[in-house]
Amino acid sequence: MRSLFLVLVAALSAAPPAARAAEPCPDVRSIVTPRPTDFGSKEAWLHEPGWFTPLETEQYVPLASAGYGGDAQLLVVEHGGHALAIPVSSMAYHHVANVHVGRDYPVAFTF
Amino acid sequence: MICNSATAFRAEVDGRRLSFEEEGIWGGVFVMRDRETGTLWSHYTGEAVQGPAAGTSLQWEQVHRMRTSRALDAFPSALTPAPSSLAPGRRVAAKGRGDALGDGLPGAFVPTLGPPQKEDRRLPRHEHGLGLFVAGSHRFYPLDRLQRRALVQEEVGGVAVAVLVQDGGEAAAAYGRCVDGVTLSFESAAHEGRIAMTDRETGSVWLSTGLAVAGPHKGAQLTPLRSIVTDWYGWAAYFARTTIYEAVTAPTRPGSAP
Repeated sequence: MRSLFLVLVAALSAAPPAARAAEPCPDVRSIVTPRPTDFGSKEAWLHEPGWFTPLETEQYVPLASAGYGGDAQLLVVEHGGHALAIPVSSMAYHHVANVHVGRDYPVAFTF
Repeated sequence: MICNSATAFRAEVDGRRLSFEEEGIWGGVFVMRDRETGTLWSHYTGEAVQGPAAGTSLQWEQVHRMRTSRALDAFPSALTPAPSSLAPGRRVAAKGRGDALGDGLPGAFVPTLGPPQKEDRRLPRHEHGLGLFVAGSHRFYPLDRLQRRALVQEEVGGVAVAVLVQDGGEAAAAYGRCVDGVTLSFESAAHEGRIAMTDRETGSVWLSTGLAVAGPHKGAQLTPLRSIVTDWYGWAAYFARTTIYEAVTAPTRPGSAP
């Protein structure tokens, strides 16, 4: 009986790691990322609003007909099957775009 | 701002729509104030850092930085603001502004980085790269180093990540590699002329937008990880204990294992 037990232990110990069930990996959406910033207001340089004009519009056109060159760089946000693209060159002026993606998903682009 | 950092956030908190304006600099990058509550927010992290909403955060949205031709390929029905609503454009260097600025910064920026002796100079200020924050860990991938490999796979904060360079090395994106409970491993690939990768487990083909376009996973979407393409000085000012990706092995070519 004892020898049978030892044989069983030896057999199990010799099993290759691949034979063991792999642990399922965690969905990264379930991982909480803590707030990262220790904001020091004493180090901030603040000025009156109005230095830059945010982009704000309710008028949109198909990207395909906008006439941007093929090499023009864009920022694109997609949500719910809709996508909105804004030229980087324009964002370098506006810095903030208060827009929406699709009919009613409000998004702030910043640059 | 000058660090060439693009971010996007859902402009809504507790069902209230917010609109923003730039209002200053902290950590070398701009902060913005919402008009509705007067709260000051970091454009870098989407955190409310001062004011009535302090302690809350805006919901992060992935920003794809890509050329028009690629954008039309990936998002053929995309819209854009009517040209009449856009200000005349400013020229922006594709890979940051380091070439034009050297190691310099405008005078108002420097004090916001903190005491000079604390500035992290492990990399040049205008080294352009992808900053990744996941599970409390922060890691910076210089784009020049990413270009040598095209695809990087590793664990950050215990999370299996894939970092994929996009377009001509001008941007990059980071994704979690866990799909349906299985950690995928990828090889660089090309798909119909586009940057792509193939997973070894199923042979599915994934585009740089994280979308699977062929194979058993076709139609699935990798989970984008919170990240930002930015200059080093802003990233280092925000995340003092960040690690830096070091490319130490030979370049990876499509079809080879990274």
